[in-house]
Amino acid sequence: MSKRTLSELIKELEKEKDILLRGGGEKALQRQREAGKLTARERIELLVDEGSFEEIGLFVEHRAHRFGMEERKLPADGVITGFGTIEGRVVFIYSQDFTVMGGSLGEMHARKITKVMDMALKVGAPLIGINDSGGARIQEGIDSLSGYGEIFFRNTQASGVIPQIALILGPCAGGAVYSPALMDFIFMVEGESKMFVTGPEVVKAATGEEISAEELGGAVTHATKSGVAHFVTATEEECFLKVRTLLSYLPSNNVEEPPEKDLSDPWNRDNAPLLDVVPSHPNKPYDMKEVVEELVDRGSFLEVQKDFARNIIVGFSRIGGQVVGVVANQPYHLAGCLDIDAADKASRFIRFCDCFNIPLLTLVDVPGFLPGSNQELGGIIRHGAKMLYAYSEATVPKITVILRKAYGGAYLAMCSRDLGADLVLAWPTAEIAVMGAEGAVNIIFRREIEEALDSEARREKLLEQYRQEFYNPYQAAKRGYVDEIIDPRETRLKVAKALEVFWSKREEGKGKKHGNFPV
Amino acid sequence: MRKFLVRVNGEEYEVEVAEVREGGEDNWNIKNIKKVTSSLPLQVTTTLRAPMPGRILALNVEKGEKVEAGQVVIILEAMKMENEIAAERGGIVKEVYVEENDTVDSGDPLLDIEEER
Repeated sequence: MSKRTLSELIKELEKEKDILLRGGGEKALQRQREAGKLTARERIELLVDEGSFEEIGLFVEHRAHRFGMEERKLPADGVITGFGTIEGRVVFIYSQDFTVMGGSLGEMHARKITKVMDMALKVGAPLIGINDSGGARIQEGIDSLSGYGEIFFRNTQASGVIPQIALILGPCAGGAVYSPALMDFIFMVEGESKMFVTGPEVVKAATGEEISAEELGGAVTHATKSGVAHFVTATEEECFLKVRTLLSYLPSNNVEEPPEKDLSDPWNRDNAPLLDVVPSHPNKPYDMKEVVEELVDRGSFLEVQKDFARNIIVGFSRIGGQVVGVVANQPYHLAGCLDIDAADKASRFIRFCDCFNIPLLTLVDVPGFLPGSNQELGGIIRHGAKMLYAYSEATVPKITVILRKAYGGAYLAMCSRDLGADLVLAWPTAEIAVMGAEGAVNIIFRREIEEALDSEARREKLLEQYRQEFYNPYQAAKRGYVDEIIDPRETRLKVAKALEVFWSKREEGKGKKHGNFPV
Repeated sequence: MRKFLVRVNGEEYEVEVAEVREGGEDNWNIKNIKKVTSSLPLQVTTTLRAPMPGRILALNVEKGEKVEAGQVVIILEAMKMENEIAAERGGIVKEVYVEENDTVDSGDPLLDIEEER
C-alpha cells in the first residue's frame, strides 16, 4: 500500500491528467491547428454549454502488443468521450482526436464510444459523434473491425429512440462512414470534411479513374449530389451553432414531446402576402420556400438537405411555438415533380419526424412523378414507394394543404387523405385530378375527337369542359377527400388550429415486428 | 536555354529554345515541346443542359450575348410548368443548341456559356 498522503495522491492524479489532456502533444496539436481544424477538446467546449462537459474514460489505454504497439502511449486512446448539456439538456458526446495516432479506431477506442452510446440510450439523451479519424487502427487487426461493428449495432439499436447526430470534421473513410450513415443527421464543413467508402487512391487503382478527394467525398459533393450530408457550413464554429439549432427542435428521446418555444408570432397571423407569391396560373413557377417561410413562425424554418433534390423541400419549423416537420414540393425545380432523390429525401425525413413525435405539414403542388428512362431504370418504383410507405406508416398528426396541382400517384404520395392525413385543406386554386387535362381528354375522348369534323376545335372544347369539371378542389371536397376549401390568407390559422386539435392523437402499434419498408 | 509559352489554336505549349551559333549565323534549334495542362484555364465553358424532357417555350438570349449568373435564359415547358432555366455562371453565350418550340430530352445541351477568368 502506498504510504503517500492524500494530497500527494491528488497531485499525482493532476499530473497524470495533465499529460493525458495534452493528447498527441504540442507538435501534433499545432499541425491540427495549421490544418485549420480545432482540437477534439476545443470542439466539445464550443459545442456544449460553457463548462458543462464531463469527460469519462480519460485513462483508457489500448491493449495491443504487436507491431511495436506495446511501446506506444495513446492518450485517451484517441477519442474524448463524456456528457454535457446544450441549452441545459443532456447530450452524450464522443470526439475523435486526430493528434493521437490519426484518431484511428482500435478496440478500446471503440469501447469508449460504445460506452457513451449505451449511456445515452439508457438516459434517453441525444448522441453527438465528432468524426476525425484515419480509419481502423490496422495494428489492432480484427479487434478494430469488431469495434466498428459494435458501434453500427448500437447506432441501429438507438435509431428511433434518441436523436443521433454525426459531425464529420476531417476524414471519415472506409467502413467508418457507416456509423454516420446509420445516424439521423450528418454535418459537414466545406473544404475540411471528407467521406468515402473507397478513397481517391483506391478508386484510381481499381478503375483508373482520377478524381480528387473533394470531388469524391467533400462537403459540397455530399450536399448536392449524393445527399449524404444534411447540413453544410463554412466553418466548424458555424457547424456547432447549427447542431445546437437543430437540437432545439428535437425531443431528447422518442417518448418526449419536441420542445415548444414561443416566438411571439401570432398563431392567427393573416397570410395575405401569399397571394403575391403563388401565381394562380398553374403553369407559372414560384418559390415554395417563400410560402413555407410565410406560414411558419417568423424565422423558424430550418431546412434539411437544402441543396439535394431541390424539387422537394423538407425541414423543421414552428407554428404557434409548436414544432412541425414541413414537406413541400418546389415548383422552381423540375416543376416540383417527385423523382428518386426527392422520394428518398422526403421519406427519410418523414420517418424521422414520426420517430420523434413531430407533426407533419405537407404542402402540395405536384404535377406528377418525373418521366424518363433514367428514373424508371433507376428504380423510381422502388424509391417512390418509400414515400407512400413512410406517410402511411406515420402516426404523428398529419396536416396536408393542397395549393395548386395534385395529380395522380404523386397526389397520393403527398400525404393524401387515403394515406392517413388527419386534415386535408385545399386552396381554391387546387387541381386534384387523376392526370393533367391534355392527357385525360386525349384518352377519354379519343374517338370523339377523331370523328369530329373539326378535331382541334372539339379537343379544345372538351379540354375546357374537363378543366371546368375536374381542375378544382370541389370534386375532391364533395367526396370528402378534402375536408375544407380555405382562403389562402387563412392557411396559417387553419394549420395552427389543426395542430392544436390533433396534438393529442395517439395510435397504437400494429403488433408486428416491423413492416418491410421498401428501401 | 530559354523557355517560352506558345499558344496554338487556344492550346498552350511550353517550349524550350536553345540558342546555338554555327558558322557565324544565328540558328534557332527548338526542341522539347510539351503541352501544358494549365490548372487554371483562361476560359471555362459550361454547358447548360435540360433538367427534364420538355419543349423550349422561350429562348431569351442569343449567341454572343453576355449573361449574368442566375439570369433566366430559357423557359422550358415541361410537366405543365413553365420552368425557368437560369445560367449557373455569368459569361458569354458561345453556342445555342436549341430553337423555340424544339423538344428536348433530359440532359440535352441547351447553351454553352463561356466564363472569363
